[in-house]
Amino acid sequence: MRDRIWFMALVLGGLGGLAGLGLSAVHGLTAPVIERRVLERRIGPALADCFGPLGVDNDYIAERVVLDLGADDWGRKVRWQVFVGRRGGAPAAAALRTVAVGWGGEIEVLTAFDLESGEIIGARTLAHKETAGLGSRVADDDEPFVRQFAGLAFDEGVELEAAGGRVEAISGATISSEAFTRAVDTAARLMRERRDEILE
Amino acid sequence: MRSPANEFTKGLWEQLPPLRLVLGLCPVLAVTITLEGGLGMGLATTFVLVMSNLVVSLLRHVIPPDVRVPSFIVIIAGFVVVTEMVMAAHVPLLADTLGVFLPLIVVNCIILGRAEAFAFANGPGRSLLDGLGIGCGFTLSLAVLGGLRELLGTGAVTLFSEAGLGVRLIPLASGSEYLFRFMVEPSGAFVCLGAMLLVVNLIDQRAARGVRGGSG
Repeated sequence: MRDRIWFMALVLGGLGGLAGLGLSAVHGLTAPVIERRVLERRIGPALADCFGPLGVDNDYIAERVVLDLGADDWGRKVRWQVFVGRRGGAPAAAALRTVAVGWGGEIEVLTAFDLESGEIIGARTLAHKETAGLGSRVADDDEPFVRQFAGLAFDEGVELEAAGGRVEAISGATISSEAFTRAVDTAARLMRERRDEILE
Repeated sequence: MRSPANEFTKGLWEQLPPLRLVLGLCPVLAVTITLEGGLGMGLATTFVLVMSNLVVSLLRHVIPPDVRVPSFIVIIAGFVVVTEMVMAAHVPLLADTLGVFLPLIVVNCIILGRAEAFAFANGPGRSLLDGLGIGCGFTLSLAVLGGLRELLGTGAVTLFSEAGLGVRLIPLASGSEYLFRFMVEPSGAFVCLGAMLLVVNLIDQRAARGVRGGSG
């Protein structure tokens, strides 16, 4: 029986199914913990950096909201997290958590915007699966590529030089740079098009 | 046939993975910048190795030999992703340090090698001991390599940084002039691993000569 093709398919399919079930169970247990850690360890300090100099005084982490954009072309729900920094109740800064697909998988990016100057305060990688030493440089906050987003105006598209923009890609990691830039651009576009919805 | 105890102990010297079998060198070189990194990688690999050995052994009469390798890979990859998620949730600093090398445990040839060469042909008890032994040997080698590199490269060995404790064992000269900085760089990994291979081979040669001398 073990040399029958249907049995092979059954075993492989069964193993895949069992692995999937097991993984979804573990994912259900660990995802909330991971999410809390990302908020505490990565987003918290990053936003303190970006929002701090603007004199923001609200608890923007606790007051975070979700911007629901419906489904994308593949029917997956698109829901971006939004953090609004307020000074004396009035919105002074905002940050969006967006995702774009790079070389090794999704790159999750947090982009912070200064609402008064109309400039990007900074962008940070929250999670990625890019190649170590090449694409992984997008996760290094001191990397010149990452730092060049600070100060860009977000009233226009944010694009790589190759696409006619002002962002210089990391050489050897064009796909990763392009994805990171696309994630920032998505956030910038939402800030332009849905500003009122984000800040309400 | 080996005794059950020997199935375990063979991984500690006779078939010590990185130094005797010279297998799975990619993570060995990449993550052993610190003692903690080496130890963490070793333990993660051991968990995957033990679990995949156990499952492969239990299913050895079910899995058709023609599709055994894809079956092994599904089993191994499943445990690797479990490890990845649990580590990201509970030891995030370590998970960040290991980075992409954590998911790459899937392609660690030690694990596929043990599944193919041992677990597919042996019972669950023996396979468990085999995985545990090889895993301990791997962890030990990585910890020694990581510890040596961290000590020589930074002058200290840090433990428990995850808990925010950061116990510094052996705080040597904190001044930079006595440190082998290059030890914590990739080139240092090759030199350090080479030195360890030399030591292991010297011990081996000496032991072999002893045996010959004794019998002659």
